[in-house]
Amino acid sequence: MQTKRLAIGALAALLGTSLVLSGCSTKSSESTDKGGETAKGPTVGGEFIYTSIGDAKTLIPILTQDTASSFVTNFVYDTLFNYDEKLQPYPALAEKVDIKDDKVYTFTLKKGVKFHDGVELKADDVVFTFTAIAHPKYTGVRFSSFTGIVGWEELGKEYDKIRADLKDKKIDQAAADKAMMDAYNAFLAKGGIKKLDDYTVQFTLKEPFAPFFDSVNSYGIMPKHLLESKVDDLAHAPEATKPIGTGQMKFVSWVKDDTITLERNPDWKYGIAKAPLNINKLLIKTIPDQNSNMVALETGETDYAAITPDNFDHFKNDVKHVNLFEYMAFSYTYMGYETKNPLFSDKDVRRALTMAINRQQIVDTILKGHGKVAATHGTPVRWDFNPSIQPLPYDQAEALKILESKGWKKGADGILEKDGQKFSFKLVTNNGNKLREQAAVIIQQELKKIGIDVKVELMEWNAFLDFVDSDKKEAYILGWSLGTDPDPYEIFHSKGGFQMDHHYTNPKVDELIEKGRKTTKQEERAKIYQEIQKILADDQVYTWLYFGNTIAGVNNRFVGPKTGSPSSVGIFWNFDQWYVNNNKTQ
Amino acid sequence: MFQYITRRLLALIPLVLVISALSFGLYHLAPGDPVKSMLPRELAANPAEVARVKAIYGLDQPLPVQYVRWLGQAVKGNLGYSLNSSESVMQKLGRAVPNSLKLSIIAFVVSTALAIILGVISATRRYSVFDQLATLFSFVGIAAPSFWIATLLVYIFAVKLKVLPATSMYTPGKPPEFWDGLLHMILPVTVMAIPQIASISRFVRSSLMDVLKADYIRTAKAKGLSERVMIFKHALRNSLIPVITIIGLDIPAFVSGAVIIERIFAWPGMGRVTVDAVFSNDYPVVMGANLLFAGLTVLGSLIADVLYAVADPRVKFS
Repeated sequence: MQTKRLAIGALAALLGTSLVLSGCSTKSSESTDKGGETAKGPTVGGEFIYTSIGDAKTLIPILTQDTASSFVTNFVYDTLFNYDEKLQPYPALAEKVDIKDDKVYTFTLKKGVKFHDGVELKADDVVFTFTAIAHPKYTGVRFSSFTGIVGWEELGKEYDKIRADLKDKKIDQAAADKAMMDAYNAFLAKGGIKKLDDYTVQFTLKEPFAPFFDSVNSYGIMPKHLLESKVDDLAHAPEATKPIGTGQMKFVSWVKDDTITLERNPDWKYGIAKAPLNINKLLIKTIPDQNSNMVALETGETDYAAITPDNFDHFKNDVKHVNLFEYMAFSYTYMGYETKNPLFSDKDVRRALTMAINRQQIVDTILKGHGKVAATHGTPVRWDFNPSIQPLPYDQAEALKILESKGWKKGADGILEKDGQKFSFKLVTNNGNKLREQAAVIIQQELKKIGIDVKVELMEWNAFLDFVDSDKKEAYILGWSLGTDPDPYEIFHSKGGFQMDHHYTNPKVDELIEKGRKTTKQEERAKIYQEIQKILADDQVYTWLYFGNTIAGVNNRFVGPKTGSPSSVGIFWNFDQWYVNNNKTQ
Repeated sequence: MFQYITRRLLALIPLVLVISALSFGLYHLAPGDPVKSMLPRELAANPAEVARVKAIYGLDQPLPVQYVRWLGQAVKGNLGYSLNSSESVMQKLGRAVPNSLKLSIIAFVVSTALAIILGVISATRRYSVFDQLATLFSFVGIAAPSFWIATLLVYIFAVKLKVLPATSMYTPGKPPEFWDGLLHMILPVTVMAIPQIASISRFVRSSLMDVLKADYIRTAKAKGLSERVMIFKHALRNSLIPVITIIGLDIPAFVSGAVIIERIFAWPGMGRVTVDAVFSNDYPVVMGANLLFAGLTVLGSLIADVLYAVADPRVKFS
């Protein structure tokens, strides 16, 4: 249902980094190849019909929030650096980057890169793209992603002050507009984002902030010569529906709610293969119903669909013209607690709850085995993951022993009691998400066995989020989609934006998160995050439930797909290496 | 009659006003904040950020002020911009309504024609094998949910027999062609028409059976009129009056689109636009669609009233 798409979209926007839905790993991936072995080799031609549950909303890279939109902008625009399937950055529009004192980033651009209208991309375009986010009329939601840049945070405070004055009627609209423009121009003059020459751009941070590199590579570079005059209202600029970028594909047409057509850019060479695409056209077709998506792939009307776990066997065994690619998604599902609630304030109790739930059964029954039990925050397919952390064992006897040691005793009705209070709570999740609904029921049954009474309640998505953000919640099931950068500040720091989702605070975790932000070397950062993951698992801030797999079905006319990557393009991370197998007739 | 229609049309204005005010008020009573839906989660949890975006969209004003502002623009034909896409509400409705109309008008013509034929045969050959079969079809057609019928037909004709496409209005990547469009229409039109045929044919049957008992039919029979003239000239026309009421009230449904059918067949019509808007709290689109549906409901009942006079000369407008 629609709710599900919203759910994914909202979660994927986590930390303001690029929208990321899927991951990859050589270990956990599986592909069933039913074709392509007799391919002649790449030739230019053919069209690929991709399907999406929702239509794109806007094609301005700094305004996109949903995966459907960023899927398209990823093809039309290029970023300074791009990520390969192992999440390692490689230069795209940039030739190289020099990082001085961990806070001055100097990007050297490639020469001769052309926008689709023939104009060369230069340093001015890069400066424009990022300063547009600071512009007073910017309506998007990425302002807070760049507060590390010199002058940016002060600009935000200045804007807030002017808006407050306007609201209190101390100044009128015209005066407010002028004051904001003055503040903006003063920010530009500070030179936090600066063009050194036509092919060199420098970003200066107040202090070392490692997640910056990921943020700066999350947005496609936009053409200043076309958009500068429309910066007051980018959302309604013609380029929001007819984008012009430098990317591997040129925009052709968009029939709203139906099909977006893109065409190969013969001049492009900034991807994995360092050469233009082989496939001539990419059609992005909106099919809102998940089952219809799979039917269209099966009938050959389209070339791609996300396959649900219960349809895996059918496609694997019965549908000859579809290859399946399975890889671990870049997300996990968990049961969260209100740790201010006395029921859940003790970490030993939370550990006992986790141990009482057979999480493997959840993976086996509701994911049909297409996933893995999760143990902590993070994902095995990102470089910061701590492989030594194992999920707590499933051991109901031990769980009961722990609870008894905490003073819980079974009452006459078989429910645990302590000081006259029963161990009874409400477990909430959003309706329309079948996997979470089923997981909630399994948890209810499991906890009942050790004498805990769980009431399951389903809520509409927006109401559910409001409830989770409030102190009234007890326990809930939700998921996180993770970004390419592992910084968990917003989720687990005591000053993070999602603090109220659990109210867990730990000075040691705060300290480590802050240290992680200031460390730029990947190996050193990885050690810090591994330590954080260990503490979070020991404290069982959540009951981590599972990592689900993404299963992509692709028509076997196409040669080249491997497994997915953690960027929002998923299996399309090496689309420039794909080609049509001309020996196949379909 | 002209005077009557003018009067009814004028009465439409206060009615639509009341409906728009009601839906505006009710919409804002419902849980879920449009601004919070627009923002990513970490920002939606930040009151300062929510206030900033509310101010940008004028949502920080008192409700009556917001309504009057919206109405002032709506009267000028400006229904505002969708909150989460770059389109205006008029653009959105303008492209979705024709797609829904295409599907629903064809389904309507097909189903009404078939339903009248089915109903007449059933009424005149009461309790025959044909009538029994038609009754069975009607009950199944009314009882079976359309998503089930759709799944069944897609499975048979698209997946197994591979004779009809399962999704879209046209083959993606090809310029729209008449035959291609027609082929894509067969399954959704059939799924839409089945429950309509089922219910309208029951109305025609029972209504015609009542009329056939009337004195003037007995007189016609006594005069020695042929059965065909008796049924088609005298009885059917009279029996259609209740049917017209039903059909008139169906007119707004032509435009509102069939949510489930449009979803399953990936048909970019109004059903999808409104449901998407409701779920994403895109209230300008919800309001625009409500206004359209309210107007059409009133218009539909007016059309039905006018059609009574066409069907039944005894009906006089006053």
